[in-house]
This record gives sequence, C-alpha cells and structure tokens, in this order.
Amino acid sequence: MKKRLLLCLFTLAPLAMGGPRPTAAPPTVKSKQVAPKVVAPPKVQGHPTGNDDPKVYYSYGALDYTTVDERLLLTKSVIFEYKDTIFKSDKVLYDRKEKIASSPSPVQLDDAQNTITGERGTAFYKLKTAKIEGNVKIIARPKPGNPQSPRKGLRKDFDSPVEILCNSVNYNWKNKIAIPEGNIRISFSIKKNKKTQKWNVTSDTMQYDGNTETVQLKGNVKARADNGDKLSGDSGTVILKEGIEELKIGQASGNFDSDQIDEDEKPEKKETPPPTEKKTGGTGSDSVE
Amino acid sequence: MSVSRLLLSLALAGSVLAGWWGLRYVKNFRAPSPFSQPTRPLLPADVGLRLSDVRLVGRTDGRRAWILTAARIEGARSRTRLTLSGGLTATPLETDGKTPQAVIQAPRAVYETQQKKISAEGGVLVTANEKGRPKATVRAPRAGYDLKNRVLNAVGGVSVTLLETQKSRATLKSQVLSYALSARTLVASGGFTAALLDPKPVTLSGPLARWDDATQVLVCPDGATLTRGTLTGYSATLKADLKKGVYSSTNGFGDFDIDELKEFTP
Repeated sequence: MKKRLLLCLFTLAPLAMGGPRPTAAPPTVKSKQVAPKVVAPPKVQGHPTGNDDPKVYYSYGALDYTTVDERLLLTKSVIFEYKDTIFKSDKVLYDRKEKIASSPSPVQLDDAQNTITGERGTAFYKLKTAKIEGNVKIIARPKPGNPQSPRKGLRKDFDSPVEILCNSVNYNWKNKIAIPEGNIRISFSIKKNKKTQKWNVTSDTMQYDGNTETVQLKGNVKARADNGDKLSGDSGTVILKEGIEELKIGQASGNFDSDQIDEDEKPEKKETPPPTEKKTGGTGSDSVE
Repeated sequence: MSVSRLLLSLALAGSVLAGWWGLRYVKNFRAPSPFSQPTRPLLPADVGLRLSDVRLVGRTDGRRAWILTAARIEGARSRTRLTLSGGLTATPLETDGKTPQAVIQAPRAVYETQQKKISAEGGVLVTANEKGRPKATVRAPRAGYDLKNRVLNAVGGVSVTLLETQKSRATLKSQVLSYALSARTLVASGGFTAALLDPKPVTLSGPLARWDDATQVLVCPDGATLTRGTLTGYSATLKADLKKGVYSSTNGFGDFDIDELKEFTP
C-alpha cells in the first residue's frame, strides 16, 4: 500500500506542477482589401469650343504614335476635328512637327458650308489648307437662310446643294476659298414652275469663295442645262447667296428654251461692252437669275 | 526508526525535490536561491527563440546568398514563424556573393517558414539594384515576398520609382503591385498612374498595367489615358513600347494643341 502511495506521488507530482503549455495562435498579417479604383475616361472627346480653340480633336480605331519623329498613324474611322473643320479618312498620318495630316485613302473634309471628298488628301494645319485629289467632289451648301432675303431667289429653289467636280482642289478652310483644278464642272439644279432644271457649267479654272458664296469661272466657260439651254463665254460668275442667286457668263453666246424661263428671268439682250458681266445676251454676257 | 519510516521520509523528500524541479517550468516562477543570480528577461509563451542585434548570413551552395540584420528576431515555438523587428534590413546578393541584388528595409516583418513568405509592414522600402547600382525603389505601407515563386507583392498606395536609366525614367503609383523577379514582369492594379520620360514627360493612367522589364513594354488592357506634351488621349487598350518609343492604342480619342511650337522648339 505504501509502495503504491509513493508511486502515485512520483507519478502525479510533475503533472501537478504544470501541464502542457498552451501555444498562442500565431498573429496573422492581414492584407487589407483595396477597392479597385475606377478610372473614368477623361472628357476629351467632344467638340471644339469655338474658333478660338487651338485644339485638334481626334478619334480612331487604331493608333501608332511614334515619338522619335512625332508622328501619329491613325487608322479605322479616323476623325480630325479642328475648329469647324472635320477631316475624315480610314488612314491618316499626322506629323506633329509639321502639322500635316496626310491620307492615302479616301478622305472627306467637312466644314459648316462645304463637304469635299476625294481619293486622297492632305491637310496643312499651319496654312489651314487642304489638298484633296482624285475624283474630287465639293458639295457647297448654302449658308443658313436669311429671313430678310429681299426676294425669293432661285437658291431657295435649288433642288440640291451645288456640286463641283474636279481632279483636285486646294481648299483654305480659314477664308473658305477652294481652287479646283482639272476637269472642272459645277452642277446645280433649279426648280422653277414645278420643273427641275439641272445646270452643268465647265471652265478651265474656277475659284469658289465660301464667304461670299460665289464661284468665279475663267476660260472656256460652258453652261448647259438638261433642257438644252446653253451658254458659253470666257468667264463667268455663279452667285449662290440666298436671295441674289445668279449665273453670269461674260462674253456669252447661247440659246434658251424660253418655256423654261420666266419672263422676268429671260436674258435681256442689250448692247454692252464685252468685259463687264451684265445681264446681256448675244455677244455680251448672259445671266440667269 | 523503522525501515518503513525511513523510506517514507525519503519518498517525501524526493517528492519535494521533484516538485521544486517541476516549478521551474511554471510561468513567472523564480526558483528560490540563496545565491543572487543575474535576472534574465523571460520569453513570451509562444516564443521559443529570441535573438538581439542579429546579423544573419544565408548561404546557398556554399556561397553567400543573403544578409539579414535586425534588432530582434523571435522564433515561434512551433518553428513556423520568425518575427523580425526593430529595423530590418535584408540584402539578397548576386551570385558572386558580394553584390547586393536589392536592399529591403522595414520596421518589422514576419517570415512564414513553411510557406516561405515574408510579410513586412509599417512602411517598406525596397531598393532594387542592377549590377550593384540602384535601379528602382518601391515604397509601400505593406509588402510581401514569396521566396518560392520570387514574387514581390505590395499593397496600399505603392510607389515605384525607376531611377534614371539609359532611355527613360519613370515613377509608378498604384494601389496593388506585384513584381515577379524571375519573369521581370510587374502588374499594377486597382488604378495606377505612371510618369515617364521618353525623354519628354509622359503621364499614363488607368485601372491596370502590365510592365515587362526585359522588353520595356507597358500594356494597359483595360483602357488608359495618355498625356504627352499637349497631346491627351484615352483609348480602350494601350501598349507603350519605351524601347522603340511607340505608343499603340485602339478605339481612342483625344486632343492636342495645334500651336504646340514650344513643345518641339529646342
């Protein structure tokens, strides 16, 4: 019995002194969850703030910007918007140093009044000019109608905007002057007495002024209407301004189908000095209002 | 005195001695001793090892691989964790055993021995070297390094500064950053802003960026905003090749100042 008691004492004593030590849970380094920061696209796409805005606004499908020579190659639905001029193409190479945007693919240049399309083109932003080449078509829209127009003019009766076709054109979008070159033809339609008369005018050279809305024609000017009316001369002027529309051919000769022209619009036949462009027929100037 | 009494007395004496010996393992127990002994700080319950003013040199294949200095290192009894505190500096070395590959500084860090991961906090500064010269610094409130996969992770306002190199200098700020040392690729997520010199100042920002250190190419697959001089652009995707100096993007728009003469005038 005593042996058993001693054995128990020896066995239990160490246990009574202390059991297995508890181990503290290891501290964990919690990684703080960070809410992803949403970066909203900047509001850079948009429209020029006006003619004082010096910025060019552009958009594209793909862009390669080479910083060595500061060139941007933009492809797929490229739009360059500068002041009220929009240059569109599927491929544009822009030189930031020279400020030249050139496109080897079909281009379209729009401003408030005109739309110019061609097979290729270059916009010179330093000079604010563009050269469009290859089957060029200029669609000249009239300026917004003048409610105080002195009289009802033919311009209001234009069936469609004036269309100028040529091989190439130099267009200054600042002063709105276009100088077409090669196979120049201007065409427009006039609706009179519920009939549409389409005119085609060709000349050696032509200058279109978008500000005054006039076209100056020089050299071998020939005007032909689809009803057979014809006019020809050395020079001519087409005034497209609403209310005072006029087609004047200097030193003109031609014939008219009088049924297609109102009495007050028949060309007056007066003996006038050749250089001046007046409402004259025969060897003088002919005009159609 | 009978033999049985003698045995009982001896047993009692033995029991007392055994108890006294066992008490040494009781927490905060100080053995009564007639002799004055120098008092030693006792370790916390979960601490099995404590070293002060430590300088450790790690070796791989007999050569020096890293140097670690810390004011204090505590090892858990479970041997799964080392806690380093009081100014930690870790210096991985190049294969020559001398040149520092990087210098990692932090007030405190924890090393998980089984997972082979280090977690540092309290403001971490990593200086990465190239051929012994500082190439980049990483500052972050918290950072971790996975020794197995050789991946550095940093969270919470991470700032990376690529010191001036041959062609470019850059800073990168992001919420989350991950850098794989083997692949030399960096991923910045949770919103990033990068400022480069190519050599003109360039700013890039977006939700996500992947940087390949070998090719020097930055890819922003989820959209990016680019500013370079007066040119600003936003695009759905962006790839910046800083070696070639080419920025390629898709489905974008932007603007630039047509009268940016100053920008290109030397």
